[in-house]
Amino acid sequence: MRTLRAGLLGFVVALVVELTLAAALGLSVNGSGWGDVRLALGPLPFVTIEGGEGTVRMSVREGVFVIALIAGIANAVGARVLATSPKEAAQER
Amino acid sequence: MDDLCESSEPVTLTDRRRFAIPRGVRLYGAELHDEALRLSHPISPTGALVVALLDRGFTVTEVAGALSARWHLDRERARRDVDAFVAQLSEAMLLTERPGAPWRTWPRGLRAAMLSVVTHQPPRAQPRRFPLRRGSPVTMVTDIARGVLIGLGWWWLALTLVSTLLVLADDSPLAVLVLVPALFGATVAHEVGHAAAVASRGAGCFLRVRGLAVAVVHTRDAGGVRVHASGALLSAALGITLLAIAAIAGMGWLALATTPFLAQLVTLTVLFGDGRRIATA
Repeated sequence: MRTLRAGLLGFVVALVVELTLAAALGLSVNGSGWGDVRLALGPLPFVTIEGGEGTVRMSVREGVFVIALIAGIANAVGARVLATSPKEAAQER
Repeated sequence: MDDLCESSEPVTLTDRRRFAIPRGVRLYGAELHDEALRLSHPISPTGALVVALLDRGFTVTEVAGALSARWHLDRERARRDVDAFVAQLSEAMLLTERPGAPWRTWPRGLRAAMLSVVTHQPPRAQPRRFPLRRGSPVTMVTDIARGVLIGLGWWWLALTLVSTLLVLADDSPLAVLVLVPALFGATVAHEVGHAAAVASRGAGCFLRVRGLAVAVVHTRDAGGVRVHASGALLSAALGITLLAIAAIAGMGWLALATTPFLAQLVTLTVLFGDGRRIATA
C-alpha cells in the first residue's frame, strides 16, 4: 500500500510539475517573443509551444507522461528501499 | 564564574570557537529549556557551568582550561569533554556558534576546506537557529523571511550577482532578474507552509539553516503527513495562482517567476527529506 501510494504520488507530482512548468515557459516565451519552442529528449517530444499574435498554443506530447511514469516508478522503488532500510526503521521507532 | 576563568593557567590549545545560548532557549539552574519546542533538557551542574561560561563569551579552549585548573584535570581530556558536550548541544540546537568576523575565522575555514579534501567529505556547516514568534501569520512570514534572508545571505548575494552579470554581459532577458526574488519567495512560502501546519496542531517550532538547507524544526509528535506535505503544497498553490494571474494579464516575466514555486512540488518525492518522511509515514 505504501509503495503504491508513493508511486502514485511520484506520478502526480511529476505530471503537475511538468505541465505547470511547461505552461509557465509557454507564457514566458510568448511574452519574450522568442518564437516557437519544441522541448524533446531525442525522439521523445515533451512540449511544443507556438506563439502567435497575442496568443500562445501549447501542445503536451507523450514524453510528459513517460517521464511522469518513470518518476512514479522511481518514487515507489525509493519508498520501498526506505521502508526496508534499518536506519529508517530505527528512526521510526 | 569570573574567578574560575581568571584562575585558569595560560591557554595553549587553539579552539577559539565561541558559542551562545540561542534565542528561544534559556538556562534555568541545571536545565536547558527550549521554549520553542516546549522541552526541558536536564544537564549536570558542570555542564550548566560550561554553558554559562560559553554564553558569557569565553572560548571552548578557555572554558576547558578553566575546568582543568579548577578540578586539576588533564587539560587535553577537559578539552575533549567540553568539545563533545558542545557538539551534542549544537546538534540539538541548544547552543549555537557565534559567527566571527571573516578576517578572524578564515584560518579555520581554510583548515576545514583542506580537511574536506583529505576526507572526501564536504565541510559540515554550523547550523543557525532563528526563533519564530507566536502571533499573527504576518509575524510568522516576517520571521521566516528574515531567517531565510540572513541564514542564506551569501547565497542570495551570489545569485543576484550572477543573474545581474548574465543580463549585463549576455543578451539574457531582464526577466532573469526576477528568478532570485522568486526563489527567495518560494523558499519562504515552503517554510511558512510547514510552520503554519505545525502551529495549527498547537505545537511550537523554530527555523534552522545549515549550509543551504533550511528546515522548520518541531517535535516528532507535531509531525505527520500533513505537516511534511504542507510546505510544497502551499508553495505550489501560490505558484499556480501567480501563473493564472500571468496568463490573464499576459505577463511573461511573472510566468517565469512562478517556476521556483511550482518546482517545490518535487520535494514530495523521496529525493528530498519531506518526501522521505511522507513515504515512510
